[in-house]
Amino acid sequence: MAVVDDLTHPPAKRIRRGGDGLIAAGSLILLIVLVGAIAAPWLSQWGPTEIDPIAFLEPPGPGHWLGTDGNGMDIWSRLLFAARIDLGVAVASVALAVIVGGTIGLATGYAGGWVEETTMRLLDIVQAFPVFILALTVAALLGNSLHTLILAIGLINAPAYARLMRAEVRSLKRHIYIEAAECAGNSRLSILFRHLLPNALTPLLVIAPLNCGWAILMLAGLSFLGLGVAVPTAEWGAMISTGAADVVGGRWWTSVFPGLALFITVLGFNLIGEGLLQRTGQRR
Amino acid sequence: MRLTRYIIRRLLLLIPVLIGVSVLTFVLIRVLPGDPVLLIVPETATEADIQQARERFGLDQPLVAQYLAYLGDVLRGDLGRSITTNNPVSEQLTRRVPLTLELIVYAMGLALIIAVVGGIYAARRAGRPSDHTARVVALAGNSLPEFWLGLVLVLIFYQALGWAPPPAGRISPLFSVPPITGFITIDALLQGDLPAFLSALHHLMLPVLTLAIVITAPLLRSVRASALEVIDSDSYRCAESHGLKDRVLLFAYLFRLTLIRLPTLAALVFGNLLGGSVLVEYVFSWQGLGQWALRGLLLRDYPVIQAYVLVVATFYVLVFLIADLLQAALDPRVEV
Amino acid sequence: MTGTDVLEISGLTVDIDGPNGTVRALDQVSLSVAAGEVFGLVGESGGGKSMLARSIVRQLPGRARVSGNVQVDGRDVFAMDAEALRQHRGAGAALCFQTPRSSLSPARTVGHQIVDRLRAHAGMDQAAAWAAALALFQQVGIREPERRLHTFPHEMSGGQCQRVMIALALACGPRLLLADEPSTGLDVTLTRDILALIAAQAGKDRGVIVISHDLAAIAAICDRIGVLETGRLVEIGPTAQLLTRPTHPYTKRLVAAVPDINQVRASTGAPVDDGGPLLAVENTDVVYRSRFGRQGHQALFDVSLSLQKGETLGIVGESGCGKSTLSRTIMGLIRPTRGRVMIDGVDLAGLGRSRLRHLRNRMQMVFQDPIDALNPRRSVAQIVADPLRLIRLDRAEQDRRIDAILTDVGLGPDYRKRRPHELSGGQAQRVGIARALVIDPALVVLDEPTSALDVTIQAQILELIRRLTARRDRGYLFVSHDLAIVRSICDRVMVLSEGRVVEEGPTDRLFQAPQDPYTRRLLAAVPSLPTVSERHAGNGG
Repeated sequence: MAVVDDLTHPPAKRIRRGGDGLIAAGSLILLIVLVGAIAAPWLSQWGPTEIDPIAFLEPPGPGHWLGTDGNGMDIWSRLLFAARIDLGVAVASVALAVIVGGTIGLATGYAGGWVEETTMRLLDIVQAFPVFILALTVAALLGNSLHTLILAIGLINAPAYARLMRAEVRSLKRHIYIEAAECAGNSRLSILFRHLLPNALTPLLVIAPLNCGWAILMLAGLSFLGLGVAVPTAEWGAMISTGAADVVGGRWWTSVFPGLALFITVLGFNLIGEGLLQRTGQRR
Repeated sequence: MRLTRYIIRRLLLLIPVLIGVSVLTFVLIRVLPGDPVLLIVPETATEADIQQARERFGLDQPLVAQYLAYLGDVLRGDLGRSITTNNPVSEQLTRRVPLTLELIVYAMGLALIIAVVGGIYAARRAGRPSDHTARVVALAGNSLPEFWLGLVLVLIFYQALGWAPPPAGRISPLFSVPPITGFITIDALLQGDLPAFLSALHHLMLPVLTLAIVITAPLLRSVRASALEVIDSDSYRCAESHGLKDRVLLFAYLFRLTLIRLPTLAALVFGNLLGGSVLVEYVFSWQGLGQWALRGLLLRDYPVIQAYVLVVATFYVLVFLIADLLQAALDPRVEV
Repeated sequence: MTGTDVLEISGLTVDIDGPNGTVRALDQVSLSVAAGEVFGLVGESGGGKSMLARSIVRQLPGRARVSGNVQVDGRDVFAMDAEALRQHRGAGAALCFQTPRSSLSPARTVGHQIVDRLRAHAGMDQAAAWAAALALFQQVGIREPERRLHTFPHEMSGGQCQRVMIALALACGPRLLLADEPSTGLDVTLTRDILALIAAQAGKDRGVIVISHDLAAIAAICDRIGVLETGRLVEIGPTAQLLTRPTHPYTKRLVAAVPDINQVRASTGAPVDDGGPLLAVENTDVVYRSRFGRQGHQALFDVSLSLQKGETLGIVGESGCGKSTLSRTIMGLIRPTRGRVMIDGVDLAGLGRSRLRHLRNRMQMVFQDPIDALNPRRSVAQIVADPLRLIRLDRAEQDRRIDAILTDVGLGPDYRKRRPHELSGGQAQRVGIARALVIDPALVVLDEPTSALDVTIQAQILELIRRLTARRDRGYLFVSHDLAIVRSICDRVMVLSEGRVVEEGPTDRLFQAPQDPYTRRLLAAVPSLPTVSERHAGNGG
């Protein structure tokens, strides 16, 4: 059989794109933050809500490395413990958003027709809603606990994932392999779960890190307005909020350090997200 | 003619969205724990007093009846009165909306200019140091919490350097500008009061800069990505391979195609700014729409929250309509 | 006939640095093209044809390293400064890009695009440039030129876009006109006109290079042809000589791979007639409805056909004639608006989703785009096993069947673990064929199974299909736009035009004595090498 050329063709190498450096840098940042969060009790002499009665608004120094706030609490210690809450809420809420939004998008995108139209119009309404009002009402409705914050931030994020998943499913449906799967005798469920879902999931997971960064900013913003984590609990946004009043007096350390921690952590997530986008060829 | 029909059709589509939004708000805030009536009646009030207050605001009616009554009022242009201050909501809105709009319009304008110029510049130098710098700055800008950035800017430019005014108020107390449009910079110019205009700009400087820094990042990245895509497209390469002059290439073959995708993202950013300005307003004690709504929410002031949500949703939908029109104007392939 | 050299390339080597190492895109290429000459550059994808064109206008990817010399009009292209290069691009050498629709700027009227070029190179003012643009449109044969000047590319057909692209290149006043795959996406009759138009541009001061993967298509217009294989110019010579006495093995393979319209199907026994037809399509209409149910587009009009077991029926027509709609209707992917599609006497339209699904072990399909027809996340074994879920088999039996069918299509069990991105186009199509055959269906629909492949690969896949159809154990429906291929494979042929059957009959009868004028036009437009070499015998070799 004359099949020399065709069959000696070597398997193509996977095309490598940039982005590895960004992912490495972001991972390193998050790893440091994560270690800080886990090892918090061993990395600081003070508890996160422990009050030093002789040091109120003390500037950074040997006793309190990053100073104390107006309540006499050690900022370094609070920074470390806050990482637990901020990282946890971010990851949990994004996971919730991916699951809820992804399911809605997959179902509507595949079903098409009026189901799709109706769902999309409902999502329009939710998305035209001011984000803060939505978060605040959900949080207020279900009580001011960490679980409700996760739920609120997750649900606000879900429509975006639903849209992305729907768009992805719609574009995948145009591929011939979906038609080929139907010809091969796959049932609708089999096409959905064997052929559409695995291919549609990647873009959702790729933007998840970017979204974690956004979720942390959201949580911190809510706490900054006094609507997120309750006051003595260590959380970066709440710490900035406490420190905001000291800014005009020139006492910068109470707000600058928690803000830096927040910024660096979000940057870590964004670096990974950006790197993943580059790797998958969605951004250069 | 077709354009008018399109605009009318889109505006009609606004109605179901607004009805949906108002129903959602109505239900959400009424199932919230907390009773506004208890917040306004004096502590000595009897059951009967409370009941009377409830009736005054129609809060004793069933939810559906309350909603229909509210809808009827809104259609007649009556947004009700604040439960806590008893001021007409529409009056407060007309005072507050220009304050916030002034903030976000300047920020958006600044961000758009930086994003378009910087994005195209970076794309034309893709892979070179200036491009990398632009990308790192965009990535960092995207990671900044805007309320903290505001505080840091205050620390630097007010506290340390003394270049900026204190973070309170929109103009120096030495000036008074009688409102015409409500936009203080425009009012000052209309009245030919240059010093007042400069003072207003001075007070706008830090809040606008804060917002602009944060929203420039996604816009810049998007412009850079679209410009790169155009530069890498066959259509641009073809024009380049036919030896067109640089200026023609830049404006006729790169600029317009790059901008085609901007309106949608810009609308998203701009739409979110109105609802999200509350953080920056809070930092700079800016008495805008966001702060008003925040207080309304904390006090369970139903008419205030309802009006706020309606305004934000309408703004959102209108901004997207304008974006779609702009896109159709830029891209002949899009039909309206 | 030919004058001085306008292009002189000597020892041109281009290396591209990529993430997976350096790739030599061009290797010591030397050639020259004279004014008045039409030079053909032929090779398969990845051969370096486009890279050669890009080198001539010095528009290479950023990571390219170049050695050797390219001279246009006696001036070294790689020694030019920015302004000289700008003038060289266009006025020296102008490139007609492949796929003109996406190579014209989408947000600018075609008139403006021409005027931009006239002003850049001829230094005309606005009025003169618009007048010259109109003249160019007339020259390249665009109907209603005044109106067309003010339209956008997306409002034009593929053929018109190609004419505009030629006009754009001519507007630069080039010494050398380069046309990259000018016949991509065009039907046979249109291809002939476009190629003739391009060839006519060779003149006293201008040479022409036509780049193509399709030797047969361009042979008729070229004075000389060069053959590129993986970056090396393996053979170059006058057209007639190259076609009749190719010396390099690769050229020989290319020439041999050109489907020959005169090649007749080797007789391999008669169709098995065992009762009723395997497939019967009766008076079928298909109307696509637009979103709101108005202005439907009718793709098929009253189509009827029948197919016996052991028979191969060819369905021929140009793009848009409804062949794909017909094959998708037969597969039950589209429901006919009117009429019946019957497999073994069962009407598909009357079946529920589940019954239709279970009928799929009787019919399978092979698709045009071999790569996109395979789910990128699944291994070859998983892909081939997909239809087997219709009949429950134990693991060992399933594996045995997969290995057997992979071997049958020429791949073998070694390919089980590969993913689609690790396959070449030809390999992917073999996997697609294996998937269709693994369940042993009675009917196989082959929808343009080779049109997305390079010619030498195409010949190999066709060989496989010929071998399969010769077994006479199934009914095959072979859909193609290529008459020569159809003749070499099918027992019977049906010609489709604008959704209607214009002619049907046994292959030999239809090719020797076509009845319908449309069939005759189609047959006349087919390029074929022997006639070409005769034409060139006088002036070429």
